[in-house]
Amino acid sequence: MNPVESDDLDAITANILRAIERGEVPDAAAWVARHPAHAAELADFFADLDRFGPFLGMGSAAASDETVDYRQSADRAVDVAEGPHGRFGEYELLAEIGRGAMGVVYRARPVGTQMVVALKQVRAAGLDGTDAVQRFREEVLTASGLKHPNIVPIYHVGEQAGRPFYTMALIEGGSLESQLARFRDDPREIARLVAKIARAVHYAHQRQVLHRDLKPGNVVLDESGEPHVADFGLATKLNAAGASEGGPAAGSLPWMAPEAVRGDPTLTTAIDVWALGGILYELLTGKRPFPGETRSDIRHAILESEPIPPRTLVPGLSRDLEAVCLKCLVKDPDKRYESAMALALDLDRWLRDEPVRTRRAGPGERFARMCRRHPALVGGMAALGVLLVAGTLAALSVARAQEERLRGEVCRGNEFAARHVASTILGRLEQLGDPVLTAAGDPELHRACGANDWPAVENFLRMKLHTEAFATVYILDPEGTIRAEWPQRRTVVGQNFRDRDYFLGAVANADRRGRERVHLSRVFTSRNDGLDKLAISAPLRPTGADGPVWVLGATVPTDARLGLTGLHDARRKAVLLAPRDTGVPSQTSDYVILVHEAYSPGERPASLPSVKLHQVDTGFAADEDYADPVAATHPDYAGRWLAGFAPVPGTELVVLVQQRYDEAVAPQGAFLRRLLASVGGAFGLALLLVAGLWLARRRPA
Amino acid sequence: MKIMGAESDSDKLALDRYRGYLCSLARIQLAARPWLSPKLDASDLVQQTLLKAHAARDQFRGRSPEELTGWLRQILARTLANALRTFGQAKRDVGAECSLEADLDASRSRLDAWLAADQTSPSERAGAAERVAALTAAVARMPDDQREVVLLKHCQGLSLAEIGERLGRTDAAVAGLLRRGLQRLRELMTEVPST
Repeated sequence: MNPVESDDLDAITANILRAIERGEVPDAAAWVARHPAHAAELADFFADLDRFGPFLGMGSAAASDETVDYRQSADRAVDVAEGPHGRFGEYELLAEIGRGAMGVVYRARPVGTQMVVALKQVRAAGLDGTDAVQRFREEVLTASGLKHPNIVPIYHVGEQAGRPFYTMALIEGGSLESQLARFRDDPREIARLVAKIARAVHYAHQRQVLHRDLKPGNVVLDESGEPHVADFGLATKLNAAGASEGGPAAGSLPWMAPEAVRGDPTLTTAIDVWALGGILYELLTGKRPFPGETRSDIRHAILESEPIPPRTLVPGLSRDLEAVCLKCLVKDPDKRYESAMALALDLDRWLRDEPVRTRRAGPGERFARMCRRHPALVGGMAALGVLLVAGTLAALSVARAQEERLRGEVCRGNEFAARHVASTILGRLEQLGDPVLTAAGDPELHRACGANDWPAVENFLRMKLHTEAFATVYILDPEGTIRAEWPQRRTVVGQNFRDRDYFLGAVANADRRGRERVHLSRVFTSRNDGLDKLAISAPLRPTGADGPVWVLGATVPTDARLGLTGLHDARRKAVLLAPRDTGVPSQTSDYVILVHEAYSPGERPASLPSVKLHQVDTGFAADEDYADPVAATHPDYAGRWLAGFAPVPGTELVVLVQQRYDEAVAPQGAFLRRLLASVGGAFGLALLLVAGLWLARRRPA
Repeated sequence: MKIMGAESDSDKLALDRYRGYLCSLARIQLAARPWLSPKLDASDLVQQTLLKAHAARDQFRGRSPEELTGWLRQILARTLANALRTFGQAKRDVGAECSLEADLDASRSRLDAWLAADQTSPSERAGAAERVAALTAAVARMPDDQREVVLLKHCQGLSLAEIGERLGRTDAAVAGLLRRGLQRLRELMTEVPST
């Protein structure tokens, strides 16, 4: 033998022996499965332990499904002087066919007949107290009252040489345990079988008899495959105060319900429903719902773990059948089927392809179950969650309020800046307006106009008024017709413009004095070149103080910056707006963007973008989420802006100072993003923690 | 062997029923002390035991078979302790009588338990005494090191760690000896007894 392998095997063997010394009963199959390299040796070892364990004083080592009765003494000695076979009262014992905690079962023949029955007698060692005898009699009496086609009938209850015994029908087909594989891949047959077993169990329940030890080993199949429930070995009167009181329950651990494992003194029919679910589960999946290598593993699994959903083990399995199975295996007895019959009826429904009454618990229900099982954990998580949410909401609302305040401050700051810009522009406009006002009062112009001497007027305009500051200068007669223009284009001379704002505004100022006579027009589209322009105009009366009013006008060049240059900084952008001349001298909300940083010096868009302004108490306001219209042609200006407005005094011009929303409230935004990220992270971690714990609980290592 | 009077024949016969059983117990104890096996024979020890029991039968106050076998085990323990002393083992087995009695009690109850649980061949099941005899014979034929471990478990119920300590071996080595010992025991028991 390879020494390394040998060492390994010996170490495994030592682990098994230590487990036994700790009082555990190792599950041979699990150990063998875990060490496939030594499967044969370990299987032999377990068989040897099983055989010689009592000789070594270690008990039977292999974890078995053998019913364990905790109340009974561990001493299983029998009277060695008496051979197990031979004559037993009026029976001839033919062969031993099984052993349970309390009894040995023989094939037996009533003397003088050809009939063969099963005879169960209590072991000698079990008879040391009256308690065991009493229990034996009680169980037989309760079980003998049961007459059902799927329950093994009891014939005769008696006592021979101080040993109570009973006989029952001998069913030759073997137990379901040995034929589990026969049903695999045939869920319909499984459903039919379990429904039959469930009906038989229900029948017993109606007669106040609990089986208490249902498992595949206690269901016998006859030659035709009919199931017969055997060994109501631990059956006790439902309401009888007795055997189960004051001690842990008897039964076979792998099929025991949690309340029985806990030693709950008031057991109900729900423990048999649980065991029926366990049988159904094992038939469907080939595995036990609560596996474990040692008894304590199995106990833990029964008390704490949810079984692996059958569909995980058998992917094609019906969802409804899985739901039926799991409903039996719910930890809370009140949540299982209320009776074995209810289980049978649901299986019938499934066999008829009708929807079953139960269904797999939704995620909500599973979550609720988890909450009930881990109240401290879930309570802690809930408290943490509430704290997180409350903290987040508070922080968010503080952040919102701060942002709101900051926004207001930025807008007011912009407004203040706009007023400053407006006063600068006013100074610039006065510089432009003064020459027009002076020319309009010049007697030379009055004389030329009065004499209709247009060449003289043109000459005057050229010599006295026209500078680089103005695109064109021109004069309108009292009818509003342009009489002379410089530079000469002659396209507009003779045309009438009495509806233009520069004409009407100047006429309206005719009786005012000083600079108040100057009028700054609304924006109009020039007939000369089709461009948007505004004009500075002033009234004059060439024929005397009471004569008709003429108007002298000067258009401001299309690319004039009007002194706005240099008023921008990295964050604040100043924009000049002017109302559009619609031909109707009334209030308007349609403002043209006259000067904008985006316009290249020396040129501007053929058609200026415009903006809607609302007049409010303090002046003007834009929409809450103001967007710069220039962005349509200059994407750099896209996005939300915070704007402040100020009118230019004595004119209809409006100065707008805007600042990017993101830049203005950037620190606030960053704070919000960090807050959301950290809250999200905390939630994520918490979820991972819960999921991890949940998984750990589900699959005990 | 001295023949008793007619009135005591039935007593002697009644005691004789336990000869095989006591023999098995004695063989186990001797097997645990292989250094004695050339000098002592189990059937001699049992013969002495039965003679002493018969001579002292008036002192037996019990009634049940269990009480009788217990009394016989006491006498066997005393006999065995005397023999050990004779062969110079007394110093090694201080308080030998008491511990031997305890060993014998444990041995008996474990043999009983084994009998009760052993279901290997129900069809060929022999009588209890024969089965115990077969087992003890097989134990006697086991390799020394394996038998030592098996009997330390059987007689004294020592744990793996305690056996390892006593024999100066690791737990794994002891476990390996025990595993192979049981395997050998099984093989020996299925073999046709050579004697």
